[in-house]
Amino acid sequence: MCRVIGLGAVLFIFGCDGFGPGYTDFHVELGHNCQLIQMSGSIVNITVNGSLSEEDCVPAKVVSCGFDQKYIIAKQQLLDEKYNPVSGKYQFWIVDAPQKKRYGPFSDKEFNAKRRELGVPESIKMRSTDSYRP
Amino acid sequence: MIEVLEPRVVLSASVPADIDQFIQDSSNPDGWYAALDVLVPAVAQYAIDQDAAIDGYNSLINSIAQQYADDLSALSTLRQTSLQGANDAFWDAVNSAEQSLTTTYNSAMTAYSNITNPANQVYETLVQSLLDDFNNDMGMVNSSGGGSGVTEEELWETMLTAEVAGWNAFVGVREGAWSTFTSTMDPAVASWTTTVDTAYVDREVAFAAIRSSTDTQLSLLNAWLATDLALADTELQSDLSLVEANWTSAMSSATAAWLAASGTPTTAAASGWNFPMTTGPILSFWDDMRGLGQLSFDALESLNWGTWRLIASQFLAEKPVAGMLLDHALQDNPPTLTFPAGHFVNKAIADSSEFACVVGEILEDHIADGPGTYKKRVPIHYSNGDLEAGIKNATIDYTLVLNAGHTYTLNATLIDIYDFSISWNYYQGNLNGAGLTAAANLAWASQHLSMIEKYKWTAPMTPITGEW
Repeated sequence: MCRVIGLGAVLFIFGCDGFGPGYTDFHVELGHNCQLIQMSGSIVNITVNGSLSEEDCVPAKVVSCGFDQKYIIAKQQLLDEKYNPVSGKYQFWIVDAPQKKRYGPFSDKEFNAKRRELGVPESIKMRSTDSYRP
Repeated sequence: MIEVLEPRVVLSASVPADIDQFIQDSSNPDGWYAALDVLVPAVAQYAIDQDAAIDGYNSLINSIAQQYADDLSALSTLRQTSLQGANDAFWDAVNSAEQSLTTTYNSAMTAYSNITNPANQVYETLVQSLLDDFNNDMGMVNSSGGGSGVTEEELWETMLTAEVAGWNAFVGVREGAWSTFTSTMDPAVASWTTTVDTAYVDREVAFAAIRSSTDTQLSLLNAWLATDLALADTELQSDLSLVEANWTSAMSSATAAWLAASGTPTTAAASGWNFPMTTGPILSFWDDMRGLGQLSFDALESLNWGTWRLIASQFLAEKPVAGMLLDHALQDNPPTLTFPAGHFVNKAIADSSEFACVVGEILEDHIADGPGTYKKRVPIHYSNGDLEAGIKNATIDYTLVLNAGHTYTLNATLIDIYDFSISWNYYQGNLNGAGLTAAANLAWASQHLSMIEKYKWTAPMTPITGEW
């Protein structure tokens, strides 16, 4: 079998339109000026009060999250210096959106404890960030 | 390609000396050795089974990627051949009609000439004869002193009357011939127009049908890829679950062996049993596969760097920002790219309405706080054109200085990571059509083959000043 993707095939699928990594980016509103934003393959953040500053946002790479009117919960996979997700390295975050307040980073255990302490409803389930893609 | 897992490192060889010492010093060395008798072969089996599952998955993924590449290539050929065929049919019809029209024209023109040329000859002969007669008669009038009884005026009138009659006769013949010519050519031209128009419409219809058909097939191809990748994922999960179940069972057996050899205590937990083997590597590896794709895509190896370079050069003309960013990504280990002041990328960003909107929001956010220096990081979103293709979502780092004299200076820098992600959801409209989805996935795969490298890039904007 031919193992070649011919140039014709490549030009065909690129078609007449422009092409770049931007097309796979997306953002969705989570309420209270918070957004889930994919800015590149591995840079997926949650802004808090519209800010992406380190001290405000949920840093990349957010791999799953859940939210209701008040709280956002998120699971973050750490990135190495080349922006590659690090295997098995996860942190958890909680955002009180109306209060514009971020809690974390937490380990799995710390996250569950903080979640109970703040009264974050059990009904908020985290799901893959890709599933929020419009 | 495959991570070496922690349990294998610790236990697949003989028991390391420090652990052996720990066992010797423990309260129940017999229990530990009994447990290890069960665990060591179980760990070896664990590694074998896990590798088999992952190898099977790799093989399946390679097979899927191979099929996808082959089908894309075949579809491209089909589309190109079909479009060429429809175009050839159009030009065949045009050429045939052209040939027919030319034949008819030549025939009609010959007939026209066959009629008009003799008539013209008759007219010219007549004129020559009239001139000869006129000259003779004029000579006689002038030499005889008017003896013939014919005046000069009468001679002129006679000659001109005869010439006009001859000309009118010629014109009558010519008009009759032209009428015949046009009556021959009109239907021929009408036939030519009908043929060409019909062929043109037929070609456009064929083009649309071919594009529609191949676009549909491309969507199906993408859907097939998504389905097969999902099935491969499910199969791997199932295989790994079985490996985990076997491992859990081995742990139980080891625990039982430990307890049987020791007699007391009665539970594993009470013994301080703490092998960290029930979670971790497998799930991490799984996440890596979905998110990072540590698997090889041999089937795509022929989509080489040169092809991407060609694509970049193509887009440099049409989508200069996207093209330039792709071009930079084709270097080995591309350094962080900073576009200097005045670069067209910076200018494209600075001139965009999206950037103007962000600047407006920044000022609005801080003016109420009064004079001071404000630093923050905010997102910027592009939803169309070149900047959507190359950037779409990025970060703006800014420092805003609001002076007491109600002037301000804003220093802003756009920061982004050039990094493709795979698109799993082909029918959610997140990309502009199946072709772009396939292209993004191909780029994602190429990123894992190091044909396209991810990198950070920044575009510092020219400082903005004004009054607030």
